[in-house]
Order: sequence, then C-alpha cells, then structure tokens
Amino acid sequence: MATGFLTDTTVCIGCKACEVACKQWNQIPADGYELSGNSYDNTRQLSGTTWRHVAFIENPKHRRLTGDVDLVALAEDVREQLPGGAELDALGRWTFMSDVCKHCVEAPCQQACPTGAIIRNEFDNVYIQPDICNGCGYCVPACPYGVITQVPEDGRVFKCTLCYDRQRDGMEPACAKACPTNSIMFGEVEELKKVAEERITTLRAKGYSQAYVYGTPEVGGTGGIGGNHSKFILLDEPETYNLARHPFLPQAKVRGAFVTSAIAAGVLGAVVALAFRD
Amino acid sequence: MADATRETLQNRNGHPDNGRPETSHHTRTDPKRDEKGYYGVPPIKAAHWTWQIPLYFWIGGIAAGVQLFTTLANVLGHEDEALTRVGRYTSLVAMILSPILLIWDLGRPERFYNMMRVWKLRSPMSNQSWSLVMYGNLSGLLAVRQAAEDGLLGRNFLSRLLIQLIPAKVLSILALPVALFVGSNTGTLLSATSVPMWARNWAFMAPTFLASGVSTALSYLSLVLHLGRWGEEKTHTVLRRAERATILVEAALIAASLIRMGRWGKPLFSKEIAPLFVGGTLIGGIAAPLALLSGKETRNKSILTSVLVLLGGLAFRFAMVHGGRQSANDPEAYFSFASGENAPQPEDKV
Amino acid sequence: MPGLGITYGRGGATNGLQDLQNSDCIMIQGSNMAEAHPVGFRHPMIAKEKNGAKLIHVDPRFTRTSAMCDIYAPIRPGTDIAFLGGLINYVIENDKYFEEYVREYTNAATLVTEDYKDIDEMGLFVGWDEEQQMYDPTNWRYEGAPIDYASVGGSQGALSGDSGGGQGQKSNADGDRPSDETLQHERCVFQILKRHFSKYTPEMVEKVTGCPKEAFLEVANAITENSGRDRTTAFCYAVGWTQHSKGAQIIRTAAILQLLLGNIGRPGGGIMALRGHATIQGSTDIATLYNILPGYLPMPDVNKEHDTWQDYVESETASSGWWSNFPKYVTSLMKAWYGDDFDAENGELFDHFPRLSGDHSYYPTIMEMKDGGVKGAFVFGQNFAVGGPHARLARDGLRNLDWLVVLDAYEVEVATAWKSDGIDPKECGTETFFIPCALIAEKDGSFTQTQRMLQWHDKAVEPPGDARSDAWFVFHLGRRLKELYKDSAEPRDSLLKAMTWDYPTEGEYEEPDIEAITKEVSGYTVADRKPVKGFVDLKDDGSTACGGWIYCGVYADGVNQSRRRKPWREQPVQASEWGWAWPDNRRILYNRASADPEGKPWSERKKLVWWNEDEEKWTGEDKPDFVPTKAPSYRPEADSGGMDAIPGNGPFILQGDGKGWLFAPVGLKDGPLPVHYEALESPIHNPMYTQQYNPAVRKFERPDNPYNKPEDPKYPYVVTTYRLTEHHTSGAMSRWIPWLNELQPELFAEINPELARDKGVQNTDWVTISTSRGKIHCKALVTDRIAVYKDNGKSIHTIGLPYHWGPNGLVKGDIVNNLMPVSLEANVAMHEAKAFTANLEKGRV
Ligand SMILES: Nc1nc2c(c(=O)[nH]1)N[C@H]1C(S)=C(S)[C@@H](COP(=O)(O)OP(=O)(O)OC[C@H]3O[C@@H](n4cnc5c(=O)[nH]c(N)nc54)[C@H](O)[C@@H]3O)O[C@H]1N2
Ligand SMILES: Nc1nc2c(c(=O)[nH]1)N[C@H]1C(S)=C(S)[C@@H](COP(=O)(O)OP(=O)(O)OC[C@H]3O[C@@H](n4cnc5c(=O)[nH]c(N)nc54)[C@H](O)[C@@H]3O)O[C@H]1N2
Ligand code: SF4
Ligand code: SF4
Ligand code: SF4
Ligand code: SF4
Ligand code: SF4
Ligand SMILES: [Mo]
Repeated sequence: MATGFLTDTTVCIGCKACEVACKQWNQIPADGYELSGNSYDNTRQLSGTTWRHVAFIENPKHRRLTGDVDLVALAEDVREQLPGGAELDALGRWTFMSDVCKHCVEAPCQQACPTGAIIRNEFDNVYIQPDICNGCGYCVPACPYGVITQVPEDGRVFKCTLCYDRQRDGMEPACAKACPTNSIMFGEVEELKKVAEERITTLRAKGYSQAYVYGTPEVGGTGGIGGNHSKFILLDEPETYNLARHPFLPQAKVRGAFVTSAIAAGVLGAVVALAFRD
Repeated sequence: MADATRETLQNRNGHPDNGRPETSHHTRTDPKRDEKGYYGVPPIKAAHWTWQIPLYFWIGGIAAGVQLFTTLANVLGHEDEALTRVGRYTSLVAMILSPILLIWDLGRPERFYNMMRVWKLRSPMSNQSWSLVMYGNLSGLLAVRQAAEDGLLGRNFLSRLLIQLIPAKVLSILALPVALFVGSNTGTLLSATSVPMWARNWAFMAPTFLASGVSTALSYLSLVLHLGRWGEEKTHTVLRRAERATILVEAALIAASLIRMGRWGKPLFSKEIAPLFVGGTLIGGIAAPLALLSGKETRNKSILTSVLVLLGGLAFRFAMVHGGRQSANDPEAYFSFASGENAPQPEDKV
Repeated sequence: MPGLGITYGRGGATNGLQDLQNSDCIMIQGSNMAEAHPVGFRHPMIAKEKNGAKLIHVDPRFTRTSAMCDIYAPIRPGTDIAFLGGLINYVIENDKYFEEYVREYTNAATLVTEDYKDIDEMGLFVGWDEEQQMYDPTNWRYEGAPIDYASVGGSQGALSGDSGGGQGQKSNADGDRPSDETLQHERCVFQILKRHFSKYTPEMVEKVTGCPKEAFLEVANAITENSGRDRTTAFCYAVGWTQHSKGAQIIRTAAILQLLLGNIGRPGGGIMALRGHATIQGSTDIATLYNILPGYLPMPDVNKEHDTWQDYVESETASSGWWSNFPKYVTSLMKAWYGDDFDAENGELFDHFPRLSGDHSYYPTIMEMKDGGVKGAFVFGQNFAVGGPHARLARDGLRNLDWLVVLDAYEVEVATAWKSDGIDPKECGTETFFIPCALIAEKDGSFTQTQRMLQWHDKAVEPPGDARSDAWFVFHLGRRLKELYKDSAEPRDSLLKAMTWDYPTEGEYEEPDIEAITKEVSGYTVADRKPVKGFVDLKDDGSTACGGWIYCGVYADGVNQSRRRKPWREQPVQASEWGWAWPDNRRILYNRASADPEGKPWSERKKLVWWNEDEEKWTGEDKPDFVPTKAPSYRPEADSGGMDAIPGNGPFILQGDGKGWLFAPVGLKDGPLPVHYEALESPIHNPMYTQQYNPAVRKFERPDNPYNKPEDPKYPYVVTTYRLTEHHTSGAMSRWIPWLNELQPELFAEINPELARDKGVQNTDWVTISTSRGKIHCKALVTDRIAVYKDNGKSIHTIGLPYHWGPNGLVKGDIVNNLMPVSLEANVAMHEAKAFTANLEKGRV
C-alpha cells in the first residue's frame, strides 16, 4: 500500500496551520525572525527545518474604485489572464499553496544517497533514516524540487517524513490533521488519484478549465521521475508555485556518463601512449 | 473597457519605470512578475560543498592521470625509476588526502563508514566511495612495495618478501581503470544532479574532468621531476609531448561542454566566476601553457607551464562547483531547463 | 451586542457555525473570518463546495477571506451602514423582501406615534438635546405606548459590553397596538423604514463607501436570490463591525436586513456574531462586566428605582415576554450566592448589595487610574498595555497605581509597565505582583464559544511550578477574606459573611472543584440540592438556587452536559449532543420562524421546527425556541401578561411583542434606526448628512486624549487595525512562540502602491505613522490588496495595521494602539479601532 498526499490549493486559506503542526509534531526549530516582504510568506521556502511551507501568491486585479468603473469590462480583463475565465476570480486572486516533499516515485534523492539512508518505507514513502545519514549532502542538489536540505547545525539532511511515526500508529500526518479546510488530503495514492480526478472535473465544470493535477506522470509532466505520491491540484503554471514543469531524473544519465568516460579514457590513454613513441 | 479605466490601468501598469514602487507581490504588471517563479526563491537547492570538494576533485584527477602515465610507461617498457617512485608515492598521498577532504566535508564525519553500507551503481557518490577504497588499497600496496624497494622499511626479510609478494605490474594495470574511474567520476558526480549547468553537460562532464585530470597530472609529474632534477631525459620529452596533446584534448572538451551547456553555462562567465574560469582556466591553464610549450624548452619555462596547468585545473574545478551553485540559485535557469527537451530525457542517445 | 439584542431579543449569535453548511449564500462583512476564525471558516468552505453557496466578503482589504469568496466588495473603513442601508433600500425598492415573514414576524405593521420624526437634514432624530449631548428617546415609540419612557426604558446595564445576551429592558406591550397589516399606513414601521433608507441608492453607496456600484449590485443580487422560502443567506461579522463609534447600529442594519429577507430563525440563515477570545461569550454570560449580573440581569443602580429588593424586582420585571420571568432568575441567583442568609420574602440582604454609581467600565476606570482615583487593580488574563486603545495612557494609568496584581502565564506588558517607556523604575511607585497562572490544558473548566455553546475541557497536565488556576486564586482569596471578616459586626460586611463559598477542593494544592461551580451555576432545588432541569423550573419563592439562569440545565440530571462529545457524524445535523448551548440547548434561536405562520415549514429544504397538529406541540430537528405547546393560531388577550402576551406568530419571545424589531422603539441611545455617520476621525466630510459623526458617541476631552479633527490635513490617512492568523490579539501569548514568530516576525503597515509611490516608499522600507496621541515605526508592506478610494477625485488612503506587537517577547515591535484615541460607542462603550486618522512618513522619524 502506498500512501501520499493530495494538496488542493483551490481550498487552501493560507492559515499555515499545517506549517505549525508539522513543526510542533516534529519539534523542529524556527528558521529565524525576518520580514521578507513577500506577501505574508516569511519562511520563504522548504528547508531542513521547514518541511511544510505555505506559499502566498498575490495577483489581485487593479481597479479604480470610483463611479465610472466598468466592472464588467474589468472582470473580462482579468478573466483573460486567469485560467478558465472563472467567474469566481473576477475580482482578483490571492493564491495559497502548501508545499511539501513530493515523495517522488523514482525519487532522485534516494537514488543519489550513497549510504542508503534514504529508503522507501513500508508505506512507500521516501524516508530518511536519521541514524544512517552522514550528511554528505549529495541528495540536496539531486532533488528536483529543492526539498531536501542540510541543517548546518546538525549536519544531516531533513525533510518531510510523511509522519512515519504517526502512520505507524494509525494516525494521519500532523499537517493533514490540522488543515481546517481539507486542503491537505492524506490517504492511499490510488484513492487520492480518483479524488483528484473528480475534483478536477468539478473545477472544470465551475469554469476553471485549466485546473490540473500536478504529480501524476500522465498529466502533470512529472513522468521523468515516475510521478509524485504527493500531488497537487493547481490552477496556474507550475513555475508560479516554484515547481518544475518537467522535473527529470538526474541519475538517468549515469550510465551514459560511464560510456563517455570510457571513451574519453581510451582516447586519453591513446594520446599519452602515442607520446611514448620515439 | 471604459476609457477612464483603461487610462488608470495604463498609468499604473506596464512600464518598468512607471514610478511604480516595488510591492509585496509581483502582479502581472510588475516587471518582476514576467520572470517565472516565486519571489526569486531558488526552486532547487545548491550543494553545500565548500573548498574541500573542488580540492578533492583536483587531487583525484591528478592521481588518475599519474596512474595513467606511470602504468603506460610501465607497460610500454619505459623504465624510469624516479618516475615510478614519484608516481606510486603520489597516488598514496592523494588517496590519503582524498578521504580526509571528503570526510571533512561531511555533516556527520564520524559516520563516514556508512558509505560502505551499500553500493549503488546509480549513485556516483557511492561509486566514488567504493572506487576510492579500491584505488586507495591498490595504491597503498604499490606504495608499500616502493617503500620496500627504497629501503624505507629496512633492508630485511620482510621487505624482500613484500617486494616478491606484491606484483607491481599486475597491480598497476588493475589500478589503472579504477584510477581513471576516480578521475572521471568527479564529473559524473556533478552531472547526475538537478543543477542545470551540470546536468545539461552530462555527456562531456566526466570526459572533461578526466582530461583535465590527466593534463594536471602530467604537469605535476613534470614539475616534481624538474624540481627534484630527477628522471630521464626521455621521460621529460614524453611528458612534454603528452602535456601538449592532452591540453588540446581538454580544450576541445571544454569547448564542447560550453556549446552543450549553452545558456545554462552562463554562470561560468558571471562576474564572480569569470576570473576563475576565463582567467584561471582558459587563459592561465590552457592558452598560456600551450604557448609556452610550443617554443624552445627550458627548465624554468617547463616549471612555469606546469604550475600554470595545475592552477588552471584547480580553478576549473572551483569554477565548475561554484558555477553550479549559481546555476541552482537561478530560477530562470532551472525553469527553462526543466521545462522540456533541454533536460536529460530517458530516451536521449548516449 | 445590542444590535442583535434590540432587534431580536438576545445579543448572541442566532445560529451555530456548523449551520453555515446549510447556507446558500454567506455574507462576511466586518470580519476576516478565514484569518481570525480559520477553523470556523471550514463551514462556509463546505457550504461552497457542497451547496455551491455564494461567499461574499465586504472589507477594506483584500484578505485571505476575500481570496476564498465569490464576490469581494471593497469598502472604505467605517461605511458599513451605507452599504447595508443600500441593501435594505434595494430589497424594499425591488420588492425583494419576504413579504409574509415581514408582515407576521416583525413589527413592520406596527404604527409609530405621530411625535416621531425621521432624521432631519442635519442627520439627527427627534429628541436631540444639544446641551446634554444625548437623545431623549420618548418620541421613538409605538403609537399607544406610554410616554414616560424613563420608567420602562431599557436597563442600559443589560445592554453593555461588546457582549451577548438578551436585553433587560421591558417593553410595555399591552397586546393592543395599532397596526396596519397591509404595510401601507404612512406611520407604520415598514413605511418609516422605506422612507428612511430611500436615500441609500446604489449611487449613494458608491459615493460613500467607494465600492463600485456594480460590485454592490452583485452583492445585492446574490443575497436576494438566495433568500426566501427555499433558500437562506447568513451573515458573519466580528469586530470589523463592533469597533466603530456606531458599531451597534451597523449590526442593527444587518439585523434589519436579515428580517426583511426572512433569514432569522432558519437553517443556513441568521447572523453569526463571531466572538473573539475562547470564552468571551462566557465572560459576558456569567458576567465579568461591571454593569450586569450573570445571565444579563441588570446590576442594581443608585440612579434607578433599586432602593429595596422589592423596588428592584418590580422595576426590572417586564409585563410581557420572557423578561416577565425576571423575579425567578434574580431570586435564584441570590439564593445561589447567599444561601439561607437570603430571604426571598423580604430580601433584606439586598440592602448591602453594591450599586452602580456611574460608569465604571474599562476606559473610565483607566482614566481614573491615571488621575489617581484607583489605588489598586487585579488584572486577570488581559494585556491592555498593548491591546487597549490609547495604550500609552493605559500604561501611564498602571504606573499610577499603588499596587497591581497580574495573573498571567507570560510576563505581559501590563506587568512590566513599571519599567517600560523609558521610565526609571525608581520613579514608579506601583508595587507589582506577578502571579503565574495555569493555562487551559492545565485545568478543568468550560468555554462558551461563539455560538453560545459550552464545551468542557479536562486538565491534561499539571501546571508548571507555582502556576495555579485563576479559580484557585479567587477561591482562596475569597476564603481568606471570609476568614478575616468572620467576626465583623459591621452591617456592610454581612454580604461577605453570607456568601456561600464552600466548594470542595482537590489535590495537593486544593484546587477548587470546577464542576461543583458548574452545578451551582446550573441550578438546584434548595431543599434537596437536586439539579434542576432548566430555567422553567426556577422559582421566585427562594426554593431554587441558580447562579446563571441562561446556563440553567447545563448540569441537568446531575450530568455535566457541556462535557458531551458525541461526534457530529453520529447524530442529526444540529448535533445537539455535542456540548451544550444556552438557552436550554437550543442551537438555532427564534427557530419558530423556520415555519410559516400556520406552523408548517416554509419549504422542505429549509425545515427545522414545525407545529405537529396531532401532538399539539412544536417538534423538529432542534429544540423549539418557543413555548412548546403554544399553537400558531394563539393570540393574546388584551390583558395577557408574561409569556402569554406573546402570540403564536411571535418567534422573538424575548421581545414584549414577540416580533423582530425593524424599528427599535426603545433601548438604543443613538437612534431607533441606523444612520450613516463618518468615523469620529475621518479625512472626509460626511457625504450624506451635515452631522459628521455619531452624535451620541462618548468622548473624553482631556489633554492626554486629543482627537484628530475631521478633515485635518495633518492626518490625511485612515488607519484600520486587525489581526493576523499567525498571532493572537495583544500578542501576549503568541510573541513567545518561535513557530508563530517566524511566520509573522515583525509589525508592518499595509499600504497601497499609490500611497507608497507618493511617499517614495518601497516594499519593506521603514515608515513612521503618527497621530496626535503618538507615533510608531514599522516596515511597509506595499500591496494592491489595500484599495484606494476617491473622494471628489482625491485619493483617500487606508493604512492597515495588525496590532500584535509590543516590547516583550521573542519578537518585538511598536505598540499600534499608542496611536488610538479613547472614544466610546454610545450603547456598548466600544472603542473605535477600525477607523481613525493618522499621518505616514518615510523612514524612522
Ligand atoms: N488568529 C487570530 N484569531 C483571532 C484573534 C487573533 O488575535 N488572532 N482574535 C480573536 C478575537 S479577540 C476577536 S474579537 C476576533 C476578531 O475577528 P475579526 O473581526 O474577524 O478580526 P479583525 O482582524 O480585527 O477585523 C476583521 C476585518 O475587519 C476589517 N475592517 C476594518 N474596518 C472595517 C470596516 O469599517 N468595515 C468592514 N466591513 N470591515 C472592516 C479589517 O480589514 C479586517 O479584515 O478574532 C478572534 N480570532
Ligand atoms: N487596535 C486594536 N485594538 C484592539 C482590537 C483591535 O481589533 N484593534 N481588538 C480588541 C479585542 S476584540 C480584544 S478581545 C482585545 C484583546 O486584548 P487582551 O485581552 O488584552 O489581549 P490578550 O493578548 O488576548 O490577553 C490575554 C492574556 O491572557 C493570558 N491568559 C491566557 N489564558 C489565561 C488563563 O487561563 N488565566 C489567566 N489569568 N490568563 C490567561 C494570556 O497570556 C494573555 O496575556 O484587544 C482589543 N484591542
Ligand atoms: S521531492 Fe525531493 S526530497 Fe522529496 S522525494 Fe522527491 S527528490 Fe526526494
Ligand atoms: S546527506 Fe544523508 S540522506 Fe543525503 S545523500 Fe548523504 S547520506 Fe544520504
Ligand atoms: S507529513 Fe508530517 S512531516 Fe510531512 S509535512 Fe506533514 S506534518 Fe510535516
Ligand atoms: S492548514 Fe490547510 S488551509 Fe491552512 S495553510 Fe495549510 S493547507 Fe492551507
Ligand atoms: S484558535 Fe481555536 S477557536 Fe480560534 S480558530 Fe483555531 S481552533 Fe478555533
Ligand atoms: Mo475580541
């Protein structure tokens, strides 16, 4: 059985309860106290000490608030730039997205790890064994989502465990539990896939014709890594949420590099050998 | 749209220098908004690696090149004791320094042995650890034999036994592919990541690192032999010839890499890295040595050439590692890279 | 919350949060529900997903709530009456009101005396006394009602507080009021209402509020389309409405609108007053307010006919409606407090009961502190050194006390006033005692939350160190005081001596047993100390005791009803077995109105409570908020008194006439109908009337409390203050929590790019905001989410300020409330934190 997330950004209210619940359950320290100026987002990104992160994307529409305002025209104006010309968005938007480890199916971080610290556990989640990791940091640039990060003070890398400890006790992850609007859905990947499809149908019917699931290999452009067990329902292009459109598996080319290396070794060997000719 | 409305919108929007202040968000009309991404926050994380890693890359490359040259000399029947001696001791020292540097860089150095828990062929880091272990042992054995031959272990039975038991030629030949792997894997290690500049160049990364390793190794040998006033005349001649040839190969591979990297190679020419890459590697490490090598040969010129090549190789590795960091921190680079056919795809031909 | 109290009879939210799931349209105005009530907000979200309900947000800022709503309508701070008045006008002009509901269940048909005059050109009602600066409300009465209003007028005490609860005023219903069922008579309430709001056209709404007409009309369309027999619209508000110099009237306007639309007493309808602190509702129910006794019983007052027990009871008993039961409740209260020492017959002990001598509400008390009239203070869980208006004045007041006892879990700014503001502690003579208190998880007790529901919490862990519960502190303080005075012969000490104070204690530290207190509050029969079932069992002869009649029944059958936790999935929609709601566990108030005049549900979809012909009683999915056996056809006799005076079609059983009051003949100090006035401090002239601001607003004209004059060019911007999800109120609790601090580390001012450009301010630049009271420094957050309003072509800018920061804690920031003046709304003494004027400059000056 594989478990995972479906995070529906269309119902997220940006309350950050998930972010706090995650920190509290996992007893992770705060990242520091600095006003970023990036809307209401002051933690900025996922890190070794922030395993859930709520992004805030503002794009309210400009409008004059006087009598001669042509609201209908303005609404249309906005519709053009919004997916599906959804009526709901006639007056601007402020989008929230609770980001987390994608629990990639062919997880690049796992493949990169030389110690075998990163495994797929019995729930098919990508899990770092904290007693194995030696902090080589090689998984960090491997992750196509900038999720896994080293904590300098600790030396090791950390990321969402998908609340392995809670799952083992039959509980849902802390973030999903805390979410007041069910934006974070936790469950079996296959089930969530169905939920996601239904949700997309509903959203499309409401006029959000560009709603899509990110993380399903067939649809979301994540085929390169076999898709994600932690999927998202999105309305804008992936980059808006700081997600790659087509993340790729870095290790896919290791074998290719062996071949080119071998050729290069041969050529260099020959070149040097030639130098020995009298 | 009402005229008034349009006017308001136009006044507020559009132009980068419309006097509009920077806002807490990047609206569609905000010039910043045109860039894809989220407040310029890097979508992937750069490796934390500090100076130890590029230094290791350099040393590993030298070890590989030294092994290549000495083994070939051995196999091709060019016996130069000084060369062999320098080669074997160098490998040993390199194989002692490399793990020290690597372990130094670990977040939890005391757990370095966890690298030996598993061997994952798809993980260049794992391959690297194992190849270092293998090459380390082989070069250790060779160095022990050398020490015995040199009488460093005393002139006794044990030394003689060691000399008899350690088959130098066989071990050298065995060590050669491992050493070459160590030298090229440093490149593979970089290319098997999500960092655009590195990943884009997966085909030439390892060859370039290897070529650079060989050229620095030849320079190193030449330098040491010159300084010690050791070695036969032929060794010096061969070294010079080989140096010239490998620098050319290296230059070709760097050129190929730059072409392959395309726009994602930009960081190499950025303000911070250009001095290192253009000044240090391209001019100092390739162009200048080539020029020096073409004229009449003197000892001093030779020494200078070697130093330049070695520094150029070191600069190259720092430039590549730091360039990768810049590349990872640039949302535009990553998004343009990971948005389609640019990224390595499974169906790509080797 | 007299806005609700006067209109419907009780000042509490009419429906429950879960009930919002039944709504077809939810209008959120005066609250940032998603941010301040994120968990409650799940219900509107469910309504949106399940019923396709329309969500509307009307707010000066585009907030996280707006982001979730189908319609966002921006308005200038302090213009809600104009917006809602516009909706009323729209509903009447376009015949969109629920005709039958309005005719039967409201006072629309009742005629008003000829002496009544609607507001004049100036914007004043009849009866304005320029000298006294107050209204004489005698002419705002129903035709035929007696003129000597003073004697029947509302007990203002019962109305005070930003609080819930019914009103204690009695009205002189005599069952025989002239009325016109056709609603055509020019003096009937409906026509008065129509005329009064006729000025509030969509164009006027746009002019006053700055909300584009089209957005306004979209809102109007949404709420009218989603009201009627088969559909209901709910309203949600919080302090975005209350914290104005006319807060009660804003809520009144919404209450009138909901009556016209027929949305009260029905599932998915109602007005959700979103309460703040976990048990802010409870703190007014079982009163912490100075002028009411538990259950909104009026506090005895020297200025009223409260000389003797008999006077008091007689003058406060209404002749009709629920308040005719007053003697039962007040007698039971005295029995609960004084036991056998209180004789219900002669009520002698009452002679020593304290009486109000004037206004001793929070603000006058602070002023008194500063002026030296108050010697000492206990502060339990409040941090007004940051959260109080004109916080600097409050801190100066604290520094002028002889002694101060602060019970809190954190070293809050109230407790450190003696060493803040650069004061040399040697100069400050206040002896401050800081007592650590137990927090919620460290003690038993109950909360009464936003929908009047009591929920019990059990102690989970022992409090750390010397921390004890507040109850422990008060109980043992009382015990020691009683011990001190036990031999006193002074008559004035008799009350203290008589006080029943014998709660059992538990544990090493003798924590009082909270359930024993709940039992007393719930009520029992004096003879055998058996719990009573509900307030219908309470007697005025001294045979019952009850510490808070509205909570009567929370311990029915000896079971702590508030501790029930049956999951909602396992019971019908109203989930009446989760916790316990007052009154009498009724979840939707006035639910008689969910049925038509004949007692049949208005529609199948919206049925809730109906008249069962066969059993001759009211039944349904909720406990009927009505006399269970009163037939729909019942009409009172001319001489009926008490509950008998309420007709079978009078769902508003606390009103003397059983009707919802479109026109308030009594009870409000600033007019029987709402009027748009500007905030006390406003950069523009009132576009509707000559009268600039609410004439009845209470001002404190003193040198340390200056007001910015209307249209003062020195203070051209409007400040509105609010909360962020990431912090709590004065930040006293949240500023110590790293996980919250990293999310919102610093005070900021939200400003529009236009203002930023004018001032040359970039995002995150420092700015200085100043008023005639003080100034603060903070960073600018430049955002389009703050709208710009135009007044005759001139831009009116709003500065948004969250008020969570202060000098203590892990993150520090300037105190926003140093900017605020003290001015009080006329009815509830609420400050005006949502609209005042200020200046903004670049940099830290
Ligand atoms: N996270 C969090 N939740 C809380 C609290 C907290 O501090 N933090 N506090 C609790 C308490 S004590 C309370 S009382 C409640 C308060 O709950 P709310 O009233 O919802 O909270 P506020 O943020 O004070 O104000 C609500 C909104 O009113 C808007 N507003 C300002 N002026 C006007 C106006 O003139 N008209 C209209 N229509 N809107 C206006 C503001 O822009 C703001 O968005 O929240 C409770 N919940
Ligand atoms: N500018 C501006 N000012 C405002 C408002 C606004 O919107 N704008 N809103 C106003 C509103 S609605 C409110 S409610 C007030 C809130 O103002 P306050 O009530 O003064 O502020 P809090 O920070 O909630 O203070 C509660 C204190 O109680 C303590 N506490 C918690 N639990 C317990 C307990 O069990 N026992 C004891 N003894 N202490 C406990 C906490 O540690 C904290 O210090 O602010 C008001 N001020
Ligand atoms: S998102 Fe990154 S950290 Fe998470 S499983 Fe995928 S590669 Fe690993
Ligand atoms: S840092 Fe830890 S988890 Fe990451 S690759 Fe190295 S050992 Fe594996
Ligand atoms: S699943 Fe657990 S660890 Fe992962 S984000 Fe949620 S709370 Fe954090
Ligand atoms: S808890 Fe849920 S609603 Fe709140 S920010 Fe997280 S995902 Fe969004
Ligand atoms: S803090 Fe408590 S009362 Fe407020 S929204 Fe969260 S759960 Fe509800
Ligand atoms: Mo509040």
